[in-house]
Amino acid sequence: MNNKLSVSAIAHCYGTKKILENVSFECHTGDITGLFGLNGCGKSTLLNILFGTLKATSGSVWINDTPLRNNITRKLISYSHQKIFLPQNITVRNVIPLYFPAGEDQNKIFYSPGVHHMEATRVGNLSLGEQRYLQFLLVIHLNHPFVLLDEPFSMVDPLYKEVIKEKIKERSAVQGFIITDHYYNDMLDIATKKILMAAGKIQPVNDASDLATAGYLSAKQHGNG
Amino acid sequence: MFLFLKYYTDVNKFNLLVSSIPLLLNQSFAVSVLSFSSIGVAASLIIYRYYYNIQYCFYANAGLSKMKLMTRVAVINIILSTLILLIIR
Repeated sequence: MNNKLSVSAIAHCYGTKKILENVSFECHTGDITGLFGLNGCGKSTLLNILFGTLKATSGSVWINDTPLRNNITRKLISYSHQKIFLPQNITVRNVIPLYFPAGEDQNKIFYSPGVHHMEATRVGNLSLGEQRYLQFLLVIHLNHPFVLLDEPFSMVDPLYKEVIKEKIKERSAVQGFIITDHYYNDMLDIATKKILMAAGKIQPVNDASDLATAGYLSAKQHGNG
Repeated sequence: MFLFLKYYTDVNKFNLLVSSIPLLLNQSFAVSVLSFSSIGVAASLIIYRYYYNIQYCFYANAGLSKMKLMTRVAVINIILSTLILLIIR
């Protein structure tokens, strides 16, 4: 099914500080929307609003032309937060069935690259990169129509990064993705739609050259990119 | 089911600690049972939120909102405490 997530005129303030201003865009099934932006520009705030854990000052979010309410209980959007949210005191083998009671669904995670060797380890004893990778795997295999990924490439080693990119591409056949990360080359590799956030507003971009022109990258970084 | 059970046991670990205080101080089992569904559960939810607030995101992805989780824990503890108090009367 082709689903549509519409973000309409979202604005958000913390006290008197405007974080988001009239943010509007759409994400469809199959889209991999890359959100670029400097620290503090409101990327995570926007993801929290879309997930439903933060209420926007104004504006609305729609899924298939229905206003988004009770997103969490309706399981419409899954979210891999930039912080690790997995329970730390249980093993990887035990955390997977908490999300996926059916054996067939569990196998998608257990047979993902790199998971087998960490199966018997407590989540809290994994490296931060491994925890982030596991969190990513759990979140994208949920059957929610849309997925939000906040810094999925951060602290993850290069081999896992490639797996992450492949998984996102694979899952984009049935899900829409909104991703934000400072690893702009990885983002540029996979994003089918690219948006730059600056001063609370958004603008479409196409490549590293646009990011440099808008001041997100220095000319030197652009040259190296 | 197992997901909620994980949350329930994690939260009530703190609750058991808090609720065991009356038992240790004045040997009153009934007060401990009352605490388990009142001040103990309130304290444990506050402690959990303080130390493990980010884990609510784990449950939210599976369709369990913070409010739903907290309400369920409180209701189950009230039912359990009532049953225990009725039995020991």
